[in-house]
Amino acid sequence: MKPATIRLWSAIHKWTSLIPTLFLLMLCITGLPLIFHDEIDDALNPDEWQAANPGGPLLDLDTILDRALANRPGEVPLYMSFDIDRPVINVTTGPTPDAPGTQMHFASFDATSGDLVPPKSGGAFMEVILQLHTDMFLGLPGMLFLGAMGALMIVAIISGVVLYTPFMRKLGFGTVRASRKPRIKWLDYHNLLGIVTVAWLTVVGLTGVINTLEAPIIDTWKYNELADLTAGYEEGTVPTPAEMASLDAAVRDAQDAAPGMQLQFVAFPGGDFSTSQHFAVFFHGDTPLTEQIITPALIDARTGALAGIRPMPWYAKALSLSRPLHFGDYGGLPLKILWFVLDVMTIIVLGSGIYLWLTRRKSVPAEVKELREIEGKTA
Amino acid sequence: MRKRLSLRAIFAIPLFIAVTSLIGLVTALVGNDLWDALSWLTLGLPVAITIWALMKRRV
Repeated sequence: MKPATIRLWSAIHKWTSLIPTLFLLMLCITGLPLIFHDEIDDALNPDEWQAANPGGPLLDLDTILDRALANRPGEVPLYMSFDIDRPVINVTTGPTPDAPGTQMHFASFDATSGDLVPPKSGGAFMEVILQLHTDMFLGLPGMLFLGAMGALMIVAIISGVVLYTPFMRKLGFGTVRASRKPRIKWLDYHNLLGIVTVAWLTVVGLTGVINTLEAPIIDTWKYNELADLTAGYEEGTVPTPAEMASLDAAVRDAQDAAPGMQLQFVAFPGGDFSTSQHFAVFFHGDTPLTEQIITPALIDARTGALAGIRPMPWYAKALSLSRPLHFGDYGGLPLKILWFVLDVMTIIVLGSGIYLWLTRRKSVPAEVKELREIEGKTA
Repeated sequence: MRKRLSLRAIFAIPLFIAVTSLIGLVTALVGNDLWDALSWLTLGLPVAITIWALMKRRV
């Protein structure tokens, strides 16, 4: 590789690393506890709740909805969701169909008895960590900014692989010159840990960038793909709970139209996830690969007639698959532990990169030349 | 003077680790149990190789 080529790639590597490095360090450090989000939440807030009739028949959705509305007189239903590991149905209500998040009320019900389930307490610490990791409390601009930092990191990975070549011309793979001066030792650590984590970090980085595009992706999906299902329903009033058809029958009809799918979430008319006149019922698949893939069905909330069912477009599927590939929560505890170790290795790569930059004295081509001469003499 | 290594010699092991890691990232998505175990083996490789290098490749 010519000195001019090395100089160009080292400039690319320097700037695409230096600009995002503090943010990447923040992401890696907040990412460590987030890998074990579920385990930490369970440990901090042990769930001692038991169903009233374990294994008993489940109440239908209309009964649960009636209980939820009786519990919050004068409010309208907004969302209904279903716990995966226990027979619990969660109903979110609010004063109006378009109520903001601060006015929403979330309550959980035992699907075997209709009794209220006490809310899980705590989780505040992990929420703070998650917010910091997602958008640094800055909302969409913060999210997109972190996405841009991730995109720079991808360029840093590519330029790092290119620069690996001249440095390794005379060194066998994995050589760690621990007895040399600190700068050479840390260069070797940086190169070794960097090159073995390339594939993993590229996937976690790219999927992280895709996750930051969540809001625009969902908006595009809503406005383009779901528009024809909802055409003609843009105007018109939101039905009151008394005017609504049976939710249970609506969900059963949708389930017949989507065989092999699991019920995940219902959005009531007038909210962000539906139209003013439809129940939006969201299903997910039942294999590890398809459980991330959401299929929505729209049902006329007054008549109960199925308006249509639409598989996700490719870009929404990419977003869905990006979540597990970023979080590392899809292959049991051993995979989470490996995610943790690879994250720590990335922190060492970032830290040693900062150290190598702080202790730089000469140009990278000159350094490559000097190191090669040393290797030539000692070999 | 030590011989210059070819590109192939420099990248043989890194490329193997990268391809294996990618296979592991996908297998855990495809299924559970055996597929998960395969992902632990394949994604454990970069960690195992690092430990090996830090112990056996120190000079």
